Amino acid sequence: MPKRNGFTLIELLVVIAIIAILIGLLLPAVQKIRESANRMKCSNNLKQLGLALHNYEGINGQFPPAYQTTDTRAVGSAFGVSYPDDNGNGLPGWGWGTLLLPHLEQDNLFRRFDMNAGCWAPQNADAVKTKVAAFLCPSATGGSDGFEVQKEGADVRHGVPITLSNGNRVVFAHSHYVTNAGVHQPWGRQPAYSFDFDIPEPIPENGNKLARIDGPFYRNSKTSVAAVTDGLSNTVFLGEHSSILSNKTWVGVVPGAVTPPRLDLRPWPSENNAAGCLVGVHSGPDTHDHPEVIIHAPNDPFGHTDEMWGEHGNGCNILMGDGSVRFASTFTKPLTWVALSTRDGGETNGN
Amino acid sequence: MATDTQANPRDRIAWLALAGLAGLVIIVLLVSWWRRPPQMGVDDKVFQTVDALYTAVRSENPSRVTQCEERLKGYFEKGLLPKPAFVFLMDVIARTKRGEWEPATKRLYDFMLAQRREGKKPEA
Repeated sequence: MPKRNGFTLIELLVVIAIIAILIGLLLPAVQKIRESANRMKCSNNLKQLGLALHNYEGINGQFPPAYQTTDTRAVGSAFGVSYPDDNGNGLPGWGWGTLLLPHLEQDNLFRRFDMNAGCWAPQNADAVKTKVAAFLCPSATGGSDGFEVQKEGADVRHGVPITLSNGNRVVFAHSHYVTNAGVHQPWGRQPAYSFDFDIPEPIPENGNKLARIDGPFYRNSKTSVAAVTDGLSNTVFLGEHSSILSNKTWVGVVPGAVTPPRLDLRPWPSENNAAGCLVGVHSGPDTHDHPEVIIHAPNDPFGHTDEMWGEHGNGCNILMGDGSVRFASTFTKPLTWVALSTRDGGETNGN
Repeated sequence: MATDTQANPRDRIAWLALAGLAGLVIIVLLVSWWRRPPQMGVDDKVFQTVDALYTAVRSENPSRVTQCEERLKGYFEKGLLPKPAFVFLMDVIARTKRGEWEPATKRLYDFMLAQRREGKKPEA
């Protein structure tokens, strides 16, 4: 019988295994190139948003607020949503992104909104689901097609969908970018100090020291260029927050909403934050954290739902007030991150 | 005359190579499992203190590190912090006392990233 010179099955298996290992080694390099392109696109989105912010400021004399509540003391209910919540949130709730739409060549979409009604009103239900590319980072996983806004669920780490009186749920478009509220979290204040975030709150845990919201964006903020005395190039305006950590939106804020960590995607150790965190984050240390001084630079490993989080490695892209975009590492020194987060803290930053 | 039971020498080499590759994969998996940081339980105060420790280490602030160390020791004594996690965190703190701030940061970062916060809360 003639001897056959072909490969045996085992030899083929070995070759396949070696090829698989080589592909496994090459894959990160290919992904790195893809990620580099995504990061550039993300950076361009932030630059576009920066231009829109300055256009808005040019016309209105101030940057848009993180979101709006016309009367924080008004009591009532709209389509099954009671207001105000513990944090003074109420009608109409429109967010910074909605206010920027006319400056992002999205006038047609903007005209579809009934701005006199709540952002959760049924007549706005279709428009608020619209996917707007400028608010979406291509690297962000966890969803970009909209999400059901939730209220507190079984515990402080879970939520349940908010249902309106007509039986529908509130679905908002995703934003992978959030505003910067500064050091303290406005959505975590004592109710007595939640009517007006410009009024400082004495913090008993911190020797009754007064604390005020010192970032450029919060509910009803009226920040102008002149108000950013730390300098526009030294103040963070926007940053990333991927929906793999928690869902954020450009649309607005529903009273009583929460921002649960995406435990369906990763076992995050973090907890819900209140409604205002749908559109904003802060740097810490929070007024009520003392004696624990917790400052979370982007991509803090515990994954707080009120911190910035990007999927570009160990950090995220941030938009400074002057329109420049930088990469902020998770290993940024805490006090540097705090200094960059305040609009008028008087800190000196290096490069 | 060769019989069916006699192995082809080329096959033997191929089998050895395949076994070697499989062994390599198993070793890599075992090492990564072995080097996995311990879990620190589910207590809120422990989480806040470890978070504060991370800020203190990144700030290179020895007095804040000491404050966190004292609190962690208390939680360990009360049974709120499992021993493997306590030992791990004390090692991180020991590194900071030797001035090894960057390795301590990296080690604590990996530890925090690996936490799952799953399971029942211990009785304090």
